[in-house]
Amino acid sequence: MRTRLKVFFPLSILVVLVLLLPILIMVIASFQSTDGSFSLANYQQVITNHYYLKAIRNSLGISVVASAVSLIIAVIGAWALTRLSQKTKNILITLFNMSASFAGVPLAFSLIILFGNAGVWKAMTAAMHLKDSLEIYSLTGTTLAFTFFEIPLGIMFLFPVFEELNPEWREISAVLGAKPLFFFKKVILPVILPNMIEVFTLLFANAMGTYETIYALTGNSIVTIPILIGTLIDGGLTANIPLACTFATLFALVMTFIVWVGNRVTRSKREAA
Amino acid sequence: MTPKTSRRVAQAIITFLFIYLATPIVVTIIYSFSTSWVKSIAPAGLTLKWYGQLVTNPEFTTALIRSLGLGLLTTVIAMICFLPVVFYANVYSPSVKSHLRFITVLPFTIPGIILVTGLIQLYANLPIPKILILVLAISLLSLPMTYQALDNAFIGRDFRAMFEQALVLGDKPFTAFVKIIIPNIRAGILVAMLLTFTSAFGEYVLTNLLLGGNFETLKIYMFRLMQSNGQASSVLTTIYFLFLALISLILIIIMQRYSAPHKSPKEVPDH
Amino acid sequence: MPEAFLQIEDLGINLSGNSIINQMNFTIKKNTLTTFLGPSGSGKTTVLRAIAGLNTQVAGAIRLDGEEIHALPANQRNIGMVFQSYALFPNMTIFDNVAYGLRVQKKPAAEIEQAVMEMLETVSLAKKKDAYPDQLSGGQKQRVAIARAMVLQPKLLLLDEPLSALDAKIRVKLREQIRKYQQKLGITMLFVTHDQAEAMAISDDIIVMNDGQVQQQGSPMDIYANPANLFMAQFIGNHNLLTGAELRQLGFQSARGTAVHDAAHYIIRPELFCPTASTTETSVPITGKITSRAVLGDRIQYRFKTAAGLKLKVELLNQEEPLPMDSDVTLYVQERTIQKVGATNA
Repeated sequence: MRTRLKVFFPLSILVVLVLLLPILIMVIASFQSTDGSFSLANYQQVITNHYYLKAIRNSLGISVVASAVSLIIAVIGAWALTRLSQKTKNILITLFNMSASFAGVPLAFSLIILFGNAGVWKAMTAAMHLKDSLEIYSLTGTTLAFTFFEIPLGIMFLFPVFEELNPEWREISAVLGAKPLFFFKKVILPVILPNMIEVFTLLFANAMGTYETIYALTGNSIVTIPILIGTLIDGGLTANIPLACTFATLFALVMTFIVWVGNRVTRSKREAA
Repeated sequence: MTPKTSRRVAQAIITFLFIYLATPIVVTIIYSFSTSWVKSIAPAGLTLKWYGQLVTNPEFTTALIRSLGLGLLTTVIAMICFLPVVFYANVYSPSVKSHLRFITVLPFTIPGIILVTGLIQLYANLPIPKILILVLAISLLSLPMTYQALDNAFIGRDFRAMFEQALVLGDKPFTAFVKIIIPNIRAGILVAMLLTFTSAFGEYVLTNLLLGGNFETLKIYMFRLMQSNGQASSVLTTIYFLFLALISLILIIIMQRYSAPHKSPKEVPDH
Repeated sequence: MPEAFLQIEDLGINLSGNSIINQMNFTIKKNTLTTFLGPSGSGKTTVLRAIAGLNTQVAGAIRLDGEEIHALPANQRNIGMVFQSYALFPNMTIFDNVAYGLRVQKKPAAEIEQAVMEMLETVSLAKKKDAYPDQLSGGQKQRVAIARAMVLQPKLLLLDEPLSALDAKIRVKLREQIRKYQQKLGITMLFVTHDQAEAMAISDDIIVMNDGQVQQQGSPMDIYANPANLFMAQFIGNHNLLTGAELRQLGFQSARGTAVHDAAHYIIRPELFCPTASTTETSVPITGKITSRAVLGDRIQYRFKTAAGLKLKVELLNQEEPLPMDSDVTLYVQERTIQKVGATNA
C-alpha cells in the first residue's frame, strides 16, 4: 500500500492542482454574479441572450457538419489504410498523428495563404480569369478548416477497429454460403457501427472545443462557444469571468455526457458479443 | 473486388487524402521561398531572404527558447507523473488501468479552453507564479498522449514476471525497476517523451489566455506575425512544420527499429 | 521435525476481496520433488506466489527450514522461482541473466564467473553464454531460467507451470532433465502443473488441489491406486466410476476382500479389463457389446456396453486382433483391482 501511495503521489498532485480544484471553483463561480453572491442569472443569460444562442448554434452547426463529413472520409481512409503494407501503415499513422499538432495557428495560416484574400488560390484564379466563390473566413470555410485535423483524428481512432476486422471472417462467411450483403449486415455493421458512433462523439467533442484554429482564422468574427469564452476571459471591458465559467461548466457537462454515451455504445456491444 | 484492385483503390484513396491534407502545407512552404506571389499561377521568383530576416530576429530566438523550455519542463513533469503509474498498473495491478482510462478522453470533455477558464478563476488572484500553473496545466493536457505511448511500451513482454523474477533473485524493487524495466521500455519512453514534448512545444490556448500574451512562445509569435507579415509568418510556419516532420521521422525510425522484433520475436525452433 | 522442510499451516489468501485459499495445510520434505497438481483456476499459482513472497498479505503461517517466512519480502526468502513465461531479461546476455542474483549478492567476479559457467554446463548451454534470450528456442530459454534460479542454491525452488508453453516432445525431455538436476544438485522443488502425466512421471510426492483445497497428498502410486474422494477418483487417470449397486449388478460381491456397499463409489480402471479369465485370482466375467473403438497406437480404446446397459471404457494393449464390433464379447476384471473411493465419501 505504501508503494501505491508513492507511485500515485505526483499524478494526484497534478490532477488536484490543475484539474479538480479549478473545475470545482469554476462550477461554483458559474453560480455567482459579478459581485460574488449566489445567482442563476448567468444560466438565464445563456439561454435568453440572442448573441449567446447564436454562438451555440454556430458551434453546433460547424461541429456536426465537420465531424460528420470527416467521419465518412475517415471510414474510407481507415479502410484504405488497412490494405497497405505494414511499413507504409506505420509511416502514415505517424504522419496522421503529427497532423494533429499542425492544427491551430499554422493550419489557419496555411489556409489563409492558400484560400485567403491575398492567397495563392485567389492569385491563380485571378490569373486564369476564373470566378472564385470560396470564402475561407466564413462558416463554410471554418468547417472546411476543421476537416484538416478531424479526418486524421478519425482515421487514428478507426484504424485499429478496421485492423481487427479479421479477413478470415469474410472467408468463413463465404464458406458458409453467405452473400456479401449478408456479411456486411451481420458482421461489418454490428462491429463497425458502434465504433463509428463513438468516434463521431469524439470528433464532435473535439470540434466543439476547438479554439485555436477558429481564432487564428477568423479572429472574433465567427462566434462559437470557445471563442465566446475566450472573449469573456480576455475581453478587457466586456470580460465576465463568472459567465465564462457558466459556459465552461455547461460545456464540460454536455461533452462528458456525450462522450460517455459514445463510450457506452461500444462497451455494451462488446459485452454482448 | 479482387485483392489487387482493392489494393489499388486503397492506394488511390490514401494518395488523394494525402494531397488534400498536405496542399496547404506545401503551398505555405513554396510561399516562404517566393519573392512575391500575387495574381499569378506560380511565384515570381525564389529567395532565401525571408529566412535570413526571421532567423536573425532576436524575437524569434527568444520565442524559440521559451517554447523549447516549456516543452522540456512539461516532458519531465509528465514523465514523473506517469512513468511510475503506468509501471504500477502494468506490473502490480492491471485493474488500475480501467480507472486511468478517464485520462484518455480528458482533452475531449475538458479541452484547453474550458480548463483555462477554471485556472483563471482559481489562480488569477493567488500569489502563485502563473508560469508554474501553465507548465502543470500543459502537462495535464498532454497526459493522454504520454499515457498511451508509455502504456504501449508494456505490450508484448511479460514485464510483471520479469520484475517479480528480479525480486525473487534477491533484488530490491527500485533497482529491479532501473535494471530490468527501464532498459526494456527505452523506445516507448523515448516515443512518449517526443510526443509530449511536441504537444507542449506547440501549445497555444493555455499560454495565450493564462499569461495574456506576456510570454511570447513560438506559436504566439507566429500568430502575431501572421497579422502583420505574411512572408515572415510563412517562414515560421515552414520551420514549425519541418520541426514536426523531423520528430515524425525520428518516431518512424524508432518504430521500424524496435516495434518489429519487439512484437513478434523470431521463434527459434526447438530440436 | 526434519521431515517437514516446508510447512504450510492454515494458509488463507484473499485476492481483491475473494477468498481464494482458506485454511490450507501441507508439508513437503527436504530434497524431494513435489508437484502441485490441479485443474486451472484451482489456486495452485496463488499458493506458489505466497510461498515465493510475491504476495505477503496472507493469513496463517509459512515455515521454511524451521523459519517463519510469510512476512518476509520476496528478496529475502532465499527461494528460487521459474515462471511459465521464462521471464528472461531481454536486455541481458544469457551469462548476465544467470549471473543476476549473484551480482545482487555482490559476489566477487571470479566466483560469479565460475558458478555461472558451471551452471550453464549443467544445463548444456555454455556455448550460448553471449547470446540474447530472443535468439534462443523455448526449451533453451526455460533451461536458462532454471539455471538462473539454481545457481543461487535456493533452499526451495518453485516452478510455475514451467513446461506448458513448450511442444510435447521438448516437454517430456525437459521434465526428465529437471528431475535429473533436482537429484544431482539435491534441491527441494515444488513444481506446479495441470498435467497429470507430468506430475506422475517426475514426482516423489504429489499434492492435488481443487477449489483452493488440498484434496490428497501422496506418492504417484498411492494417488493413483487409492483416490481419497470422488474428485480424486475422477481427476486422476482414466476411469469408470460406479456406485456399489451398479458394481453388484455386474456380479461383484466384494472388492479387495471387503463386501460391496451400495452407497459407496468404486472405480474400474479401463486398462484392468482382460480378454481372458485369470487362473490365480477371482475374476468376474462381464458380457456386452463393443460400440466403438479407437486405436491409440500402443493401446486400443473401446466403448463397451454391458447387457444391462452400463457404458464402460476399456483399454487393451494393441497386440492381438482387435475385439469385434457389435457382437457379444466377454471381458474379465479381477476383484482385487476394484478401487473403492476414499473412506470420506463412502
